[in-house]
Amino acid sequence: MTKITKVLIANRGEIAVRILRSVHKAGLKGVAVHHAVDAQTPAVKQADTAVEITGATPVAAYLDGAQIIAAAKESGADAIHPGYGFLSENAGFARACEEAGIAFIGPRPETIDLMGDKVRARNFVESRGFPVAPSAIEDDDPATFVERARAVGAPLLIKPSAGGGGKGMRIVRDLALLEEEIERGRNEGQRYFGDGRLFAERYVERPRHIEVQVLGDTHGNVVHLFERECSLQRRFQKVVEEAPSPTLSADERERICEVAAGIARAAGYVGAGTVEFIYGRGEFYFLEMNTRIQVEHPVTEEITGTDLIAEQLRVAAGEPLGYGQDALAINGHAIEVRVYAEDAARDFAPTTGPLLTMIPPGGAGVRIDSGVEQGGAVTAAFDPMIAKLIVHAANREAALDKADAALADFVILGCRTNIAYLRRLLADPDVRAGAIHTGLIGEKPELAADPAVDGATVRALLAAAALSARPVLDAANAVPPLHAAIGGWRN
Amino acid sequence: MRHCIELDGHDHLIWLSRTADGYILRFDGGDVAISLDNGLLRAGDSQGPVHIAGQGDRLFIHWNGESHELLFKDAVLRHAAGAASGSEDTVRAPMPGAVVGVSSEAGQTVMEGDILLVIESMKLETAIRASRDGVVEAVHVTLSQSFERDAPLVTLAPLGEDA
Amino acid sequence: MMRRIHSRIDPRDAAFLANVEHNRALAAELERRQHAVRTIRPERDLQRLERQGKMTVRARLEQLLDPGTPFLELSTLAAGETPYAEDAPGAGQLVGIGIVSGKEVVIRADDSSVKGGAWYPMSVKKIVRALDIAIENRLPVVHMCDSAGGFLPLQAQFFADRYGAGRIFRNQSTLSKMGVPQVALVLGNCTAGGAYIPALSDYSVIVRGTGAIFLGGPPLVKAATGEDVTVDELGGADMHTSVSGVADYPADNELHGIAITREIVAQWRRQPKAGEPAIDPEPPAYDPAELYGILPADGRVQFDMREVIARIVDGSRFHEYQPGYGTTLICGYARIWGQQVGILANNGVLFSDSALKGAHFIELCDQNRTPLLFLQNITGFMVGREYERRGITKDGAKMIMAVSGASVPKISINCGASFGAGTYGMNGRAFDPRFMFSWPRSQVAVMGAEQAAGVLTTVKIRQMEREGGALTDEQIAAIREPVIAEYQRSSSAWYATSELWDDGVIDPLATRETIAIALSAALNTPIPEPRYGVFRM
Repeated sequence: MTKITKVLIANRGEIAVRILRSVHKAGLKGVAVHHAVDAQTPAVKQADTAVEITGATPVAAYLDGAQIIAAAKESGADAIHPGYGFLSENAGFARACEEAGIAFIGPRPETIDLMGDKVRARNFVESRGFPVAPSAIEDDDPATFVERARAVGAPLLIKPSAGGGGKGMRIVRDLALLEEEIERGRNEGQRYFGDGRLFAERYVERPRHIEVQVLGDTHGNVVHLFERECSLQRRFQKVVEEAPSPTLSADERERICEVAAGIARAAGYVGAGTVEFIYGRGEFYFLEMNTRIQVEHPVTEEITGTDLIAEQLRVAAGEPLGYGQDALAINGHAIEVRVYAEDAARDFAPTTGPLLTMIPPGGAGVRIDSGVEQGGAVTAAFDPMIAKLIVHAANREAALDKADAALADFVILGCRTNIAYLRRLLADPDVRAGAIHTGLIGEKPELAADPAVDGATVRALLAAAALSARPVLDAANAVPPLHAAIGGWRN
Repeated sequence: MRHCIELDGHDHLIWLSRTADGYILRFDGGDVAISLDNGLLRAGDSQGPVHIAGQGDRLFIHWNGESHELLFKDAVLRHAAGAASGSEDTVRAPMPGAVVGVSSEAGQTVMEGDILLVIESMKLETAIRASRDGVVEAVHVTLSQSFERDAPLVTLAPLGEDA
Repeated sequence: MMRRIHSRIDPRDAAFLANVEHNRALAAELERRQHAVRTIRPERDLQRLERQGKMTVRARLEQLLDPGTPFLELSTLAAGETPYAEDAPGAGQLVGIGIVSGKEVVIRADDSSVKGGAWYPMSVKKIVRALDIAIENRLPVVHMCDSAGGFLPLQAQFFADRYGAGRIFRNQSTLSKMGVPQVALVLGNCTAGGAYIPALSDYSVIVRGTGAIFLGGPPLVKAATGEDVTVDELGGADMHTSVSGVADYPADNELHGIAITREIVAQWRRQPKAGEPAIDPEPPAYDPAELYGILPADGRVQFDMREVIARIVDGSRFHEYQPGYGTTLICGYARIWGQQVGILANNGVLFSDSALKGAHFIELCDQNRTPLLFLQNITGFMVGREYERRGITKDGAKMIMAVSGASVPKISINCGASFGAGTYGMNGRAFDPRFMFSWPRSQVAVMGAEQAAGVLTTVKIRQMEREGGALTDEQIAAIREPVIAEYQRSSSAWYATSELWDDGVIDPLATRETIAIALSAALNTPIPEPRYGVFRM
């Protein structure tokens, strides 16, 4: 048992706030590290201790493991929670924490290494008898990669071996373009990950992205917390996530969840992790395993009543899970939408601006995970996520209705957001019917266009503007009451 | 003269009139009685909660489940030709003197506040700056040339159409 | 706190219906004349304006005003009965009281659509009157200048006299001295004397390209000195706003100039109003449109002025003073658009008692700081041995003394007749009413047409009889009828307003708003303490 009393959160924004909440709930102290640009954010304000970190860019500060470990030592933290992104899947950082005598809240470094390499991870999964997509791995024999890739057949997905997050992925439907696309994928891999190695696998048309939350302890116990479906993506970035998947039958659910738990078990997985699958026409293939807490973890928390961060803390402290798979069940349906500062009508270009007003929706079954607040600002320094809106209801239909109502009530002024787009997306008949796949958003560009503002809305908006724009109001109030009452009279 | 408010890419000409018990909005869609009390907006037969935030001339309004951005356009700026300032095309000498530095030339694009020339007068050096964004059309003086008050020094042309 | 007037009219009565038809036709005639003066222009003149990038004077006005506020146009039909009516519609001037950036102002604009906005004799009279209104009521002025200058062939009629063109500049200087601001927006030429309008205004805005100010234009300069010079060099916006300092703000176009002008007016201080503050207005209880049925088609037929008051004042409520005494003059308090007024209205010939009642009531209103409204329908004071013996002249003198001496603002409406000494007692033009309006049916003259024609024809007939013996009835009628026709023309409302004997002919249905706007304007001037001359006892 490792005694944990004080947890440093090596992250920022909504996940730092989210982790702090469970840290405090567990009776522990929380330390926030922050770049100067984040000094006024809720995470820093809510932390028991805040340590400023520096870097050539704000992002660089959060990637500086040595500095963060020094901050942990300085503040007396005995554990570091990496959140997601930044150092969360950096095995070197996990090792450095261990060497410094600080608990890294996550799996063992070897697991991170294994799962961080797409090719190794795939081979590992395949070797243990779990389903993987037909594929060709460049490293196996670089000279024959193109022929082997061609043999897998179209459609084909080319991915950087070192990749993640969808960067550098290319779909090849016409094998005549194969070599050209391989070159592009290689260049992107080189650019994003400093590694041009590729692999190619069978691409499932109109695939669904289904992932399974797993949890393992240091005593060899592994459970799954059912699946999440994240098929609504834009350029491989998840936009809407839900649990459970609207498409899986009970049988399929049991199979896919058991495969995920089996993979985790085979890897000796410790902590919270996610096994991602590609699903299509009743088949599913292993995609990758993420060895960290996921952005979309709240939907799992909502349907299972579990606090995944609290579980991570318990596991890191060496506690056994203390329950088995039988104790876990699905309750209702949860949906998460990511509220971004972006302009859907301008090809989802990120926007920036002050959060002049930010009033999150409330009520039963509505949860907001956010790292910013009214008075703050969305800057170009980090990704433009303002908040995650999570709703929980008895069934999917009710959850969709609740999400729409909550989005309508979510007031964010000062910065353009994708809220209106999310509402249009959730109202789409295919989305309502659960007929979703990872290409759906791309196939419906019309949803991204701003509809023309209708007459009644124009009238209301101009009314609100007139009553709040000082020059307009002042001009109205300057008119003597008599003349205002007589109105536009002419003799 | 009505106020101009841009919404959804359209300019709307509006005016607000006070009445005994509220206001009337006059706009391109007619006249409508409106009020705003404690975050409750009424506009004709519509009513509901509204959130409004302003930043400079920008107005952000959340109404009926959607946020919109509007822009109040100042009448003087809106009607001024070309550059926003409406200031003169030719920079003239504020006092008699001599040119001690020339830092602009014909064809050069300048921003408001850029130094065009330095002149010396009454033993004091004065920077002559661009009164607005534009392109230098002509520099009327050369180094060490002396001039009288009001002599034209530099003429600016407006920036291109899309500026 | 006041009772409603009880109306006794019967809207189904044949006479009422005949009156409606007659008065509607008169209102339509007014509308036709105003429409012609305001909007009908030769096509080529409108095209010229468009070529110059100029708006019409009416379009400029609408942009200048606060939208949704009233504009009381004054002397719309000025010069309408003059020989040069066609060349100077409305005397080539647009004048009125309106709201600019929340301020009550006098707007005076040259109409350059005909004859380049040249000033005719009545133009000068209208401008001087506009500035007199500004002075008397302390109203700031917005000038919109676009005039070719005085119309030279008629200069003898408008230049040298006390109220000639120089009076414009004298009035401008007086306003400035009083601390009443003026802004001139130069949208066209301001040549010769006209150049002094912007120069004497506290603020001036000039539009690039079209606006120009100079004492002599390029041709005159060429003739005088041989110098070749362009309009822009001589008096353009950039020269005047950066070199000469004659004008203050350059504008890129007319709308830009109007926007700047509105911003200037917005800076001006607001004067506290004199008198009793206005209360919430209340519409009349009786439909003002019924006025058309009340006013008799035959101008010689008497009508009860209470019926008129009931359709002009708030709630038709009227507190009548001395209801049983001097009953040919109705006196009492009421409110118009919330503003208190003391009303004197004729209900017949003035007798001694009605004149004494009027004089007393004027003093009461003066003491109470209540503005006065005169509703004229007066053929004169009663004549005859009995009345002279009782001293009707000294009682009439008391009323005239009271009218002349009252310190509160006075407004007159000629509702029908305004003749002879009745005009004096009822605050005619000579008694400096702040505003004076006429209904289309009204007449103003020394005496009524029939009476005057009688006097005039009798003289002629006697002369002819002395020369050639008795005249037949046909011969007498042939002498009499042209005399009556000319007399009627020169005592008509159209003639009165053409000569600026009033501030405009108004539709009776516009009376309530006209008075409200005029009253509000009048109350910008503090009311001095009451003080009168000697009343002949």
